[in-house]
Formats: sequence, structure tokens, C-alpha cells
Amino acid sequence: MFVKVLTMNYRFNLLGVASSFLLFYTALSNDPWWTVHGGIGGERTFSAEVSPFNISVEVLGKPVIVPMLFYLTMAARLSILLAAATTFLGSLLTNKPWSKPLISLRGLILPVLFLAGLFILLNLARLYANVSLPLIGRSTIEYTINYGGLRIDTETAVEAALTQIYWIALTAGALSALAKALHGRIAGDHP
Amino acid sequence: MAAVKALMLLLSASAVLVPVVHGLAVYGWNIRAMVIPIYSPPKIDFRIEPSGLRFDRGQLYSEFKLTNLGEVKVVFEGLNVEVYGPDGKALAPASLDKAVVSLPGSIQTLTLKIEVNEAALSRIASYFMGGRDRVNIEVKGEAILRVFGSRVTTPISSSFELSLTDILKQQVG
Repeated sequence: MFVKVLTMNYRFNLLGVASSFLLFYTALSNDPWWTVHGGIGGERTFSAEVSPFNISVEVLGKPVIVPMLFYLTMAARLSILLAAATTFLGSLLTNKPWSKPLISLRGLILPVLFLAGLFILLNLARLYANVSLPLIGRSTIEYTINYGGLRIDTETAVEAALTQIYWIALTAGALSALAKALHGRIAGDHP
Repeated sequence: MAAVKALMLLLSASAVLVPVVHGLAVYGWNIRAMVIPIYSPPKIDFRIEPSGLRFDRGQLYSEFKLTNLGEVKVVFEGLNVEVYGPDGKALAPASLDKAVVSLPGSIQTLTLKIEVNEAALSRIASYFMGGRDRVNIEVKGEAILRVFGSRVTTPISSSFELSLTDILKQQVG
């Protein structure tokens, strides 16, 4: 009964359609999934706005650019757009036996890998650069610079957060996983 | 079904590899140039020159001309320094009279309030005995700054000449 409703009587995979729309939205958006800002009073010592599709880092008001990142984010965006397109197509062709592989799980893998990657990078920064950035929340970084024989101590208030669009991307991924499971039920109930 | 899976795999691999290969081609297959971060920090540079001395209600104030030669706004929030005589002995503690906001290209006055007491004044007077009318005074300690929203504590040292004429002018004036 539930499957019949979600598939409109085995015609479409509504969960897949919903997931593909959300995947298109997140892949075409330039909004960051995670932000971290250091500094107080409206001034930013540093800031990073990161998503798999766009990375922007500034230190002391000047951008930090890594050329490879532009191409890697382009690859991530194309990959998710492809996943969105094939999921949409597969969701409309539920009566075709070969439509199940079209429902992609990349939409779920990406936000999970993104979070895991962030966690690993922040731990590496803490271990090797002695910079302790939070994944979520506030903290204070104390850092010492040795410059020309002088010891310069800095103290920076930091705030980090996962954004709304990250949760939308994760929801899209969860829906794609449910859509894949639903697709399996369609094949089972309606061969 | 196998054909669909193979096609999906091919499209997925292309979506990832084509941009990366294109990027490598643009950079002449120079992986190092592609992964090394490009960053140009803003210039942070100051010039501090002594500009005067004054006595006010029993306090000695030493003024410095602060020129911001850099590209960054810096707020001097405080100074915790010690003033030393030409013999290297500590004379008196000193602090910043009031916070100074230094914008790029600006010239501001940084005023150091020196907490002189009777003993410090006696020692200063002793430096001028023996015919000297100028002595070199050194200021050493740490400055507390605010740069781009971060608190920075940095060692600071400067020196200025104290002349007997200036002291007498201030006392008489």
C-alpha cells in the first residue's frame, strides 16, 4: 500500500524524483556547506567557506588560491549533476528492469565523505600545524609566530558551523538511498 | 542491465576525470604549480619615532610619531613596558595613555605614560651630573595590538633621547 502511494501505482519513484530535485539544487548552488571564521567585531582574521563545489579561503583579507581545487570542485559538481539526472530518469522509468542502476547513491556518499574529510583535515591541522579549529561551535585559537627572532603570540576567536544547505544535501542523499530501496521493492512487487 | 551499469561507470569516470585532465593540460602537467597555494599577505609595517616629552600633573609622557606604512589597520590597545636608563637599570614602568587606531598610510601620536616616582627622578637627575645634557633612554616590553579581529602580543623596543633642556622646559612650563 505504502509502495503503491510512493510510486503512484508503480508508475514513478516519487522519492527518487524528490531526491533528484534536491540534488540539482545543491549541485547548482554556490552556497558553502561549512563555514569557519576567525576574528571579532566584524573583522575577519581568516575565513573559509567550503563545499564540494566551491572553496573560498581568505587570510588577513587576502584570498588563498589552490588552482587544483577549481578543477576538483568542478568534477564534484559534474558528478552530482550526473547522479541527479540519472536518478530523475530512473525514477520516471520504474517499469524498465534496467532503471535500478540509474538511481545513484553518490548524493548520500558525498555529504558523508565531506564530513569525514573535514574531521580528518581538522585533526591533521591540530596535530601538524598546532591549530585547533572546531568542526561546529566556538573556540579560541592561540598561536605563536616566530618572526625575525621575535616571539609573537596571537589569540583569535573562532566560530564554525555546518550550513542549511549541507543538511539539504544530506536529506537529498538519504532520499536517494530510500529511492533505491523503493526501486527494489517495485521490482519485487511488480516484476 | 550490464550495459547500463557500464555506461553509468563510464559517465561517472568522465565526470571526474575530464575536469582534472583539462586542468592539468591548462597548467602544462605541472602538478606542483596546481597544488601549491597562492597567497600574498598584506604588508604590515610601522615606523615609530620619538616626537616629544612632557610632564603633566607629576606624570612623564613620552610621545612617539607612529606611521603606518602597511596595508592593514592596527589598533594599539596597550603597552606593558619598562623604561631603562643608559646604565641598563630599570627606571620606571610605562603604559599606553590611550588606545590608538592606526589606519594604512596614517600618522598618529602614540603617548607613553611613564610612572616616575622620586627614586626614578633622582636617578634621571644623576645621569645628567658629570656634564651630560642628553641621555639615551630605552623602552622595552610588549605591545598588545588588534589586527583583523585578532589579539596580538608582540615584543617592542624603542629608544629616545632625554635632554636636560626638555625636562627643565617642562618643569618651568
